[in-house]
Amino acid sequence: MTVTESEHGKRQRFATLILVHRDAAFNLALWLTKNREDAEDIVQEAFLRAYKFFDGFRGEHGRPWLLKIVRNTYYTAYNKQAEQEAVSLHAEDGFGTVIEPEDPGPSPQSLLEQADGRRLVNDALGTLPPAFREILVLRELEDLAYKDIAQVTGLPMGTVMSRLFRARDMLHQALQKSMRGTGHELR
Amino acid sequence: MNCAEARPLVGALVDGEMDAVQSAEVLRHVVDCAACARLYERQRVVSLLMREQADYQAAPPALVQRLEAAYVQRPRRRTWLWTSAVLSAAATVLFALALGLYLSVPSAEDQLAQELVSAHVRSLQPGHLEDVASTDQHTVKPWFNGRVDFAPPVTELTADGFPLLGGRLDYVGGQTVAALVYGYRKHVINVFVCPNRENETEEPESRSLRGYNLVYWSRDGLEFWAVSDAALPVLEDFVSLYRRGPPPA
Repeated sequence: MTVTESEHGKRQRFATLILVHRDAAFNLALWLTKNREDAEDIVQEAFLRAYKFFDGFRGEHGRPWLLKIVRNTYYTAYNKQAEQEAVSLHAEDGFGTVIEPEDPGPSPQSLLEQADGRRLVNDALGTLPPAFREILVLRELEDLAYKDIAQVTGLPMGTVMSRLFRARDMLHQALQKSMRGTGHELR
Repeated sequence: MNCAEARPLVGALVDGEMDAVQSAEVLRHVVDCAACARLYERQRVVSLLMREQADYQAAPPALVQRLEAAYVQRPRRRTWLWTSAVLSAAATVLFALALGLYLSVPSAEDQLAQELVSAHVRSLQPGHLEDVASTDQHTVKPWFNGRVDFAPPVTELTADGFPLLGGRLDYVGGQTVAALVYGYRKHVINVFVCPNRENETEEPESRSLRGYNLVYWSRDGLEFWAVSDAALPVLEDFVSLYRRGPPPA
């Protein structure tokens, strides 16, 4: 038994261009599902699809291409509701709904120096709905530009911006709430 | 620029997503407007905290192993197998020579085992497990007539906990092979069957590769490879039961 030339070449290219992004795939899947087993299942399913559709990959950047598949796998298999929820939470222009109070409360920046800062940030991120969690992960952890986030999520650029804005605001509120709860000092 | 124009762009300022001209305009407003400055600060702080403190989880080693099993071929062994393929296309004598070499060089068999594990993993994709889905050996066995030029033995082992799920043709290392699909609880067992030109009889041997188990043997002119992620003792039990089944037609 032998391996044919073209199959071998395809695997080489797939490994170099796509398989290399397995950590990004797992990290996004884990933040979406918050469950390691589900995240592994999603990653495996996503790679199967990526391999199947690899002939259609035109050498653009592998990471956004793969993450798009990961994210679609999550929404179609696990959470058809989530996209609808994000839209309804966000029905109007997200920029206008944020009212900046005179007394803004404790700044979460102090979490950078606190011993349990990491835990609070991760717990707070976990409380956000998936659509808002994912956009923060894509922007801050994957460092994707807005246009790449638009590619991964399939959202128009304007929505990427407003959803990211809203997501940051939600995380800020969640952090302030948990800081008050744990008695962190006002800064 | 006023607040209504600047607010939607404050995030883009944090992210450096605007050109120099637009950035400067937004910045000019933010500097002059206390409300927008606080807004900018909120967005900036959250971005910073995410980058500094949110977890970035790498794929666990077992998952990486499974992915590599499915998608990575070890290139350094390919040269030998290519050569052995050329040799096997020649006369029987030459093939026997190649076989002699094959047995003493592990790499060709490793290559084959890797190929089989990859085929097994890919078969787990939805819709790819069976071409004929039936628990009845009298449906599955004749399905292979005319599709392959050998008759893979099909046994029903449902009572022993290994239900027959069906069969399919698979394509492993450039050759069409028969795959018999069995289940064990939530696991899939693929039994790959192909002709064994040397008509040897070899007792079952086991090996593990990248989290998958393989048991292989040959007899009656056929070569068998049972592949599964079920535990090796289970797979070996399955193989004993399968081998005990009715002899090939």
